[in-house]
Amino acid sequence: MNEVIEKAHAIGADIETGLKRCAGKEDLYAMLIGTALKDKNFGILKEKVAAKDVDGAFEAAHALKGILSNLCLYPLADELDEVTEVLRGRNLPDQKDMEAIDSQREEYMKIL
Amino acid sequence: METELELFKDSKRTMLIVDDEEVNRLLLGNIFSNDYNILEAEDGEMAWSLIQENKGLLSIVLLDLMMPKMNGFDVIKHMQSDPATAQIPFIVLTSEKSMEVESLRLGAADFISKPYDMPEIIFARVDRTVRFFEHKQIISSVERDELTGLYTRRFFLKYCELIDRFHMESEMDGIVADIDQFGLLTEIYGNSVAEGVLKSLSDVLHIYAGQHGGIAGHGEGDVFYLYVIRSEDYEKLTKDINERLRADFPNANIHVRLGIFKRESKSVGLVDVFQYAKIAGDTIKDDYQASLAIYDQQLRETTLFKQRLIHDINQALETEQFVVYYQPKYAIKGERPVLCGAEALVRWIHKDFGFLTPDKYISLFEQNGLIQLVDRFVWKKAAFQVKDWENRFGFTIPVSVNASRIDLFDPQLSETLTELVESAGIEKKNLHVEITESAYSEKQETMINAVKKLRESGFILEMDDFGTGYSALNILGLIPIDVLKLDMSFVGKMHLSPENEKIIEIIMNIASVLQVEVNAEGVETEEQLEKLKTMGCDMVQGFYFSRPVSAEDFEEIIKKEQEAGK
Repeated sequence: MNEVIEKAHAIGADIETGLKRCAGKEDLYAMLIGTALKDKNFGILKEKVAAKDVDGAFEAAHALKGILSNLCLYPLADELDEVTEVLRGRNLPDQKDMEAIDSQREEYMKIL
Repeated sequence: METELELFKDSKRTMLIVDDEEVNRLLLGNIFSNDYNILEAEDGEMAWSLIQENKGLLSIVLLDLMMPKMNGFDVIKHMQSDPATAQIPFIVLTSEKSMEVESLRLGAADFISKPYDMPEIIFARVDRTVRFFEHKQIISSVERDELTGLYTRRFFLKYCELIDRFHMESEMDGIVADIDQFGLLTEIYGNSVAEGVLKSLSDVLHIYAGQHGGIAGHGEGDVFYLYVIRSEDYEKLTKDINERLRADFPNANIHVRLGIFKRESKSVGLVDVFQYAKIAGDTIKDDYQASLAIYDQQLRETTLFKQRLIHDINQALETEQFVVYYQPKYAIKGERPVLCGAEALVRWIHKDFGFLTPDKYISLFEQNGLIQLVDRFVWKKAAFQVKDWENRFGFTIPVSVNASRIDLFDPQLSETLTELVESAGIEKKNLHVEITESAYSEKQETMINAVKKLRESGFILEMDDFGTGYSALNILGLIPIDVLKLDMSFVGKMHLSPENEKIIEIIMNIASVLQVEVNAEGVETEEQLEKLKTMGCDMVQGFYFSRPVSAEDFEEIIKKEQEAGK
């Protein structure tokens, strides 16, 4: 088993489903995990929340939620789902939620 | 056929995946990369430009809705604004439940929910959509007529069936529209004007069908179909047609005839509905006063009667319901009229209808070619009759028989007639062949060659109904004729004015220059006979001497002639 995938599994990723979505291709899955974690929308989300731009923040969160859920990178994907729903209700997320996203993403980044 | 289909199955289609997230594009691309060439776009603008560049090539677009620059909704709007891109199917990629139905409403062929679970199912759904649209596009390219945009006949009838199935309670009428003398119109004004006329007419029919509930179709040439919810009267339709054609083609006098079949019962099949409508329309062919005709009880009876005659012809020939009558011809150059021949004329004594006059069936059989059977029957009877009279009276009476247009198209005509006279044991010169002038109106060369071949072979040729057609004199110079039969209308009108007499004299003069004998038909009085004699007419036939009689009664005429000749 690919090392990245094994480590992602240890963090909480549902690698069985994730791999299935990649037609069982480990290399592809590992590559997509890397691409997803480096997505520019993480930066955009932070900026937009700081600027209190609810619409902009929602777009970024929504996009991140989409790719992370596709790859089953939990619990980061769940965190993004929560933030997306908060933004959909036209509220800004708590600092706590934003920090949780940061820390979980850092956790994942370590495996790359 | 099978290899061709295999070829289509194996060829790689092209797909455009539009999503601003690379991860999503790669995930989807991975599902299809074995079977599709994949193009990718990361925003709406890029997508629209790729769609335009590859519109002839793209089999499908997988489209995310939320994207920067131009979102998916705008891409859809652009695609739908151009007919070439509007036909490319697209499938919406969405993680929002609420967008699933919305995307179908926007015209999406399907939707795929994010996250992309079950790649196999995604593949199957997309691939099936691609196949479905390919079939749909092929069908829609042939279901409509290129020129007019109306349904072609087969599709038209299929859609009529659907209307019947889903609107059982609606009373529908079948209408056939034809343009009178469309061939002539094309000849005079050229193809592009003729096509313009077809387009204008199809426009009116299309609009009418749309407004009144129904569909329009285009058959062969200038034949159009409407299947519409019943109207009390169709005057509005004829008015619309005439107004439009007058506006579009002010210099051409175009007559469109409508035949209408009111479908009272669904038990009349659709093909019959339009056949009957056509029959109704044809009753006002070239009648510029009438624009529409309805298939009614009387027409129904006429049609059934005709169908019955067509059905009965073979049995009638086998059971000798057809009888050949003979009208004597007299040479009038000498002191007394001398019996010089006879014209064979067919009579049908139908087993149920009794004596049928030729106008009931001759033109009907000419239209469908069955006349050939009747002609051949008469030829045979006449040839053997000549022989019979020769044997029993020692007297040769040449008999003239009719050859219809269709006979002249038969390349074996000369051989057939030769075999016949040989089997009857008579000389060729004693079986005259009568051809009508109108037989030459089309495909002149084929006709002329057939006639020449007959004459070279030794048959005597007579031109029937001379003077009733369009190009009588013209024809005389083109084909070899032995006898010219002056139509009875000339003789009948002879006494009405000196001009009428003059015309006959001129014909006689031309005939004499061309060394062609003249046989005047329809002689009923002694006065007519004497006039024709002084004009130099060679032969006559008509009620003055005898009406057409049976072979048996003709024997009396022969006997009388033999007495007179003694």
